[in-house]
Amino acid sequence: MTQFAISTEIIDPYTLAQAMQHPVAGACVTFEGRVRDHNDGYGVQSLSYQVFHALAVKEGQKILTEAKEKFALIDAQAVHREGDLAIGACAVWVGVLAPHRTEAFAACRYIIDAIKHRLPIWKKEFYTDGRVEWVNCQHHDHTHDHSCSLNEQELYVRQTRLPEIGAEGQARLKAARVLVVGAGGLGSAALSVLAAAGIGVIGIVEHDRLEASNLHRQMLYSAEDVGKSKVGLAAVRLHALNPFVKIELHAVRATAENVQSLFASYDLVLDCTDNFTTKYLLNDAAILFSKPVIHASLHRFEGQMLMVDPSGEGCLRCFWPEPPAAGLVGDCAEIGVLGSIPAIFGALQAHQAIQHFLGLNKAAAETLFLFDVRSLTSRHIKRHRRDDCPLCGDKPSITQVSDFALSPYEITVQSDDTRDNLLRRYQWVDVREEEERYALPLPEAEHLPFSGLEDAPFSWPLDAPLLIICARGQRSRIAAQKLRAKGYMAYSLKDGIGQLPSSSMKRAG
Amino acid sequence: MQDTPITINLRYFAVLRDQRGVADEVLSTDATTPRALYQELAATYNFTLPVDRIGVAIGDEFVALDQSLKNGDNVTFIPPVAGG
Repeated sequence: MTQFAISTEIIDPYTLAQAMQHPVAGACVTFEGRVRDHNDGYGVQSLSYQVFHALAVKEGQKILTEAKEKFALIDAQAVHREGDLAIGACAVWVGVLAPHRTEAFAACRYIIDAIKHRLPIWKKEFYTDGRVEWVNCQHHDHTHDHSCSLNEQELYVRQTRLPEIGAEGQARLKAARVLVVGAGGLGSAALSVLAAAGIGVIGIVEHDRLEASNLHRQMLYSAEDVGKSKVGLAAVRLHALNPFVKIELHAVRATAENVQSLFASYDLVLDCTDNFTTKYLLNDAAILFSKPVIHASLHRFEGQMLMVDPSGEGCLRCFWPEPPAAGLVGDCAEIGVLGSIPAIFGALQAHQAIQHFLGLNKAAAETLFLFDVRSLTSRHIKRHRRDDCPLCGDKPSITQVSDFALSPYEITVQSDDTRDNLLRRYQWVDVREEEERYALPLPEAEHLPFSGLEDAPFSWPLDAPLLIICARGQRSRIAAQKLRAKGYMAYSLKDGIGQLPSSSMKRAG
Repeated sequence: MQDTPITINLRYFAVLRDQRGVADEVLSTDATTPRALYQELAATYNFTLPVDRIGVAIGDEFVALDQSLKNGDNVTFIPPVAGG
């Protein structure tokens, strides 16, 4: 019987081919797609497939049935792998039986091409240089996409009925390209609203895996998916929600190095991140690369939304020229958050994006919107571009993007700091060499010698503040910069180890 | 310093509200600018954020920290937040 399958087990081409038997079959053609060690000029180490099951199996079955009819086949079978695969492994297998070779070759070719084009399968490639990228295996050629028998416009009839939208507004949404940075609490809500509304292309920047503690507010995900990569999960879910939207995946952290190229092909960016470093990076990129960014940030039961339009009324730095030092205002992990708050603000960001494309209520983009959900009170603060803004003012001092928005990133020990509270606030990392540590031990710190910094395997969570310590504060400063470039919240202990308070008592003066 | 104390309607957001313990209050002050007012309050309530890390609005307008305060002004101190 003609059958398409998704398999988490190794595909054994030999056994599958042996099972293709029929007395009138004069030809059996089989195809094996294997994992190769390079893609686009980059070395590939291994890869992982993520499959949207229900749709993939249904569509795969449809492809086989079509081929069987089209080429008068006796039988057609195909299997696609899911999960982690090594170089050389069989990723997809196709077998067809026909009376003659011409049909058999043509049908096999037809099936593998259709599988590549039409199945909702995403491929995560692990490159030999350490990078990881999601590659959409589906080509989103909807003229051949029979996965959805719906007429796209039917999805939007309730919103096109609004006089502010109509067919013309819907066409604008379809032409829009939005980048969502962060697929957490804010991102879950924003992505769902954008996809459902029919935004043409949605890019997702997210490098994290799903944790159980995310589920109460990140409603794009399911409990069964804990441990999996969020960007792939988000793509699968959004594709299921609206197969007419093109989803582009960026399984990276936004950094000074990649932010310009991430922004390049989008019309608008949503800042759905949860840390000041990235928020300031996106703000700076908005002004420097002339791209509107809609920020939202939360604190317990309240939140803020602010749209930075490069031609509009200023930026985040007009309000807060620099972010506060780490630990002063707290984050969701430290102070807690209720799921409804990011859901409200993420939906608001998406709404603001939609208004932007429709040209509605432009004045809303010139305010800081504050909403305390607990008391249902809101405020609009009118913003103005500040002449002395370090970024968008008359004499800007910030002229390029940087990963060091958190300032000061050199930590000066204060008179009331104790060893205990510094240990509570930071993971200590000692970058001195072995012999220096022998002379002056620092047992509380993890050891990461400066000389081996480049190849060290880092295992700290990206949101845990690190205090980098050396003898005088020179090497720790460089190490902190390097760690920040890798996405860590690293701080350098100014002037080195001698500044640390002693363990038993407060440090004097 | 003002010649005579003025009355300010004050509202706090986010971490400042947490640290002050109330969302709003009416107070009498000698401070002539939001900067001076914040510093006065920071000393009393142990606000952790330095004054140059907060935003301030009078009425519904964002203003500079050194804007003059008038009797009856509605002042809002707005710290940056980062949760998401």
